Amino acid sequence: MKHLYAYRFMMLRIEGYLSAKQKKQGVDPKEQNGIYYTEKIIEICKKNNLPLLVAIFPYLKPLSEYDGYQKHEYKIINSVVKSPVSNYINLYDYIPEPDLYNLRQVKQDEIHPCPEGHALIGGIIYNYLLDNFSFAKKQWRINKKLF
Amino acid sequence: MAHKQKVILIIFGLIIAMMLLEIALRAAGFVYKNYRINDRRNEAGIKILCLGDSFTFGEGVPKGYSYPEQLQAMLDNKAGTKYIVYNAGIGGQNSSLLFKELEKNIQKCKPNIVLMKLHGFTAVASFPTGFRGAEPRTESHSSTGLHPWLSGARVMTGINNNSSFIENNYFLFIRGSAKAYLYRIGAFLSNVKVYRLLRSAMVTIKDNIENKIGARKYRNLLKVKARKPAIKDIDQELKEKAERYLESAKAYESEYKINLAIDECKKSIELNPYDDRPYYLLGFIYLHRFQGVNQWSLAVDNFEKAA
Repeated sequence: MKHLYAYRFMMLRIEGYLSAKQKKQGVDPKEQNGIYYTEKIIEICKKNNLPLLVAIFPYLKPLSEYDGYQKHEYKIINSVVKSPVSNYINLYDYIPEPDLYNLRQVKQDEIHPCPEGHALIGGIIYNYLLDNFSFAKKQWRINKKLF
Repeated sequence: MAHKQKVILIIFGLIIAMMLLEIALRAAGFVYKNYRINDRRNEAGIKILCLGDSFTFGEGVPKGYSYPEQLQAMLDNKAGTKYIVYNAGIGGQNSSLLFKELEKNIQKCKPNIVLMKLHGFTAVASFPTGFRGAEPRTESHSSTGLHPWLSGARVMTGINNNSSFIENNYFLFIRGSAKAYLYRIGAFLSNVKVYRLLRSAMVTIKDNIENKIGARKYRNLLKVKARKPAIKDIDQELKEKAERYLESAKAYESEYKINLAIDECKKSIELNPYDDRPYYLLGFIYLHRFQGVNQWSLAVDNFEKAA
């Protein structure tokens, strides 16, 4: 297949089209991971004067069982969130590690929680908002700033 | 000639039908998406916009049980101000897609607070969430429900994906790599709703066939008369040791430490090969927990031994 002229011609055309399009879009090398977009989201909220609350949710297993990639993700999330956002909830701090197994909806699925898990998260966010957010002034109470 | 014309007409008809179906699905998706973020912008109250992926959407939980909906219920019980919680979670969403949709969502909902749930996938991958290999994320939704194509969940095309250089994605950067082109074609097709519909139908049919074959194998297995091995005398001490290994295997299994559980089962079998329970546990692990090749045959082997 690789040696067919038609195939090579077609592939070259596709390649040319894709690289031209990418060049036109001006893809930033920073965009190679999610940090870029997360920071962009924070920027948009800032621009619109919107208080942003970030909730970090764990995989439904203890931190010690994370594989290399998951640890890398966790590290990145923390570094992204801690610097520009002062209002974030790390749900790792709220849910005891052994309980994470019980929040699984399907035993093999370590991402999506059961309804009880959703209720727990809703409750944590609810309490955080009541404690830290002034609904009347529409701003954070403790930090006295929007972000 | 007439035969050729018929074939051409059939192909042409199929293409038209697929195009119509695509339009219908996209229209349904548009309506469904607007229905989910219902138009309550004129209502007074504190508006909270929840951004996220399938987690926020409430993948797998009944309607009304996702965390934004539960948050809404909790806030409703609080006397005084009225609160409106928007669930803008879409299955397969990641940071780049969240960013793309955010301006629109802000205009639509006019929120007072933005709540963003970050998960490993959402934050790190600017790729389709869960994309760790050559398969787009939406495949995993195919057998679980209709919402990914209706709600507008999609996978970015290979044209403007901005991948991380982690794990299996390296092939995308090898110039002229066949895998890269295949990925790009796959990524393009995964934006086509008809393709995803057909693909999910195929997966469901395949699953059903596999289940039927599995059930038949199981029935055949039950028909086989188990030959009882001659039970030899084993030291009480060895039996106790085997029992302990079995207990620890069960504990490991419940903690999802699958490899350790398998090792413990094997040790238990070594010490007491006449006990059916470790075989059964091994079979169960291979059937339900172990994700590898030949797990079905390994499970059947162990169930046979247990029988």
